Amino acid sequence: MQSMESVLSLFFLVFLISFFLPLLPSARVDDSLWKIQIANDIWRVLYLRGDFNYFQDVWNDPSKIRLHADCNDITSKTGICIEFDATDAGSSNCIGNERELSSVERIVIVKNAPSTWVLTVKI
Amino acid sequence: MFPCFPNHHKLHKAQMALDAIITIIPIVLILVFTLNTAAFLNYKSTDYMERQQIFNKLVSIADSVVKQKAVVVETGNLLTESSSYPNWIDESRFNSIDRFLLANQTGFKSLSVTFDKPGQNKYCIYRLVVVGTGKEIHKLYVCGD
Repeated sequence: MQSMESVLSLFFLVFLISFFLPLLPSARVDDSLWKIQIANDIWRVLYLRGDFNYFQDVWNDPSKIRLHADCNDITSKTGICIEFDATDAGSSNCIGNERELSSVERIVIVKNAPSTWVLTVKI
Repeated sequence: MFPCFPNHHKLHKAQMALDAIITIIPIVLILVFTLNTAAFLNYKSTDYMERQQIFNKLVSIADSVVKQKAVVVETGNLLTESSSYPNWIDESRFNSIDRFLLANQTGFKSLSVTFDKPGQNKYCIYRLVVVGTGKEIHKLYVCGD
């Protein structure tokens, strides 16, 4: 009788594990390199469009407006939220519950002096 | 004197056979379960490796496109060296990329490098670029399967 109970328990255990095993989530693809590339792409795109040129002489609103508009454009196209540590000219159309993807550190000439800026991208 | 002896012997044999069956069932169950789990985990692992490999290939292809194959290049003269601009796409160079050759070299059945996301490919990644003299911001999709 005890043997039968053991067999039934084992049968039940095997059934249970076989049922739940396929429900385990698949391992996520490691996309860390791509995230770094995307952060660099964003910096590069903003640089190519000349968004940092205007900070050279003045630290005023028109320079921020151009950068801000491009950040919003990128956010609307990709869903990626852009933030700078040195200015509030990043994206303003973020959803709000983003998590950090990556960040890059670059030197920007502000008022004729080199200044280190950190760009953080979130999604 | 002992009329029950043959029956008792048969009963004993039957009980032994039943015990043997009851012992074998868990062994078979454990064996089947172990093999099944091993096959399942092997499938999961192979699937993950395959997805990672495809993703890495797409990342490499996209990187070569946005940094070398399709970028704006200014040819130099005697005094200046030629310079290229990563992430700034020259449309004529972009259109002249041999997608078929690239797919063959990287082991993809089909490969597309476009500014619009194609529907039929299974795996896609994108990069951010500016295009042409107007430097408009675009997403560049690299998809393959």
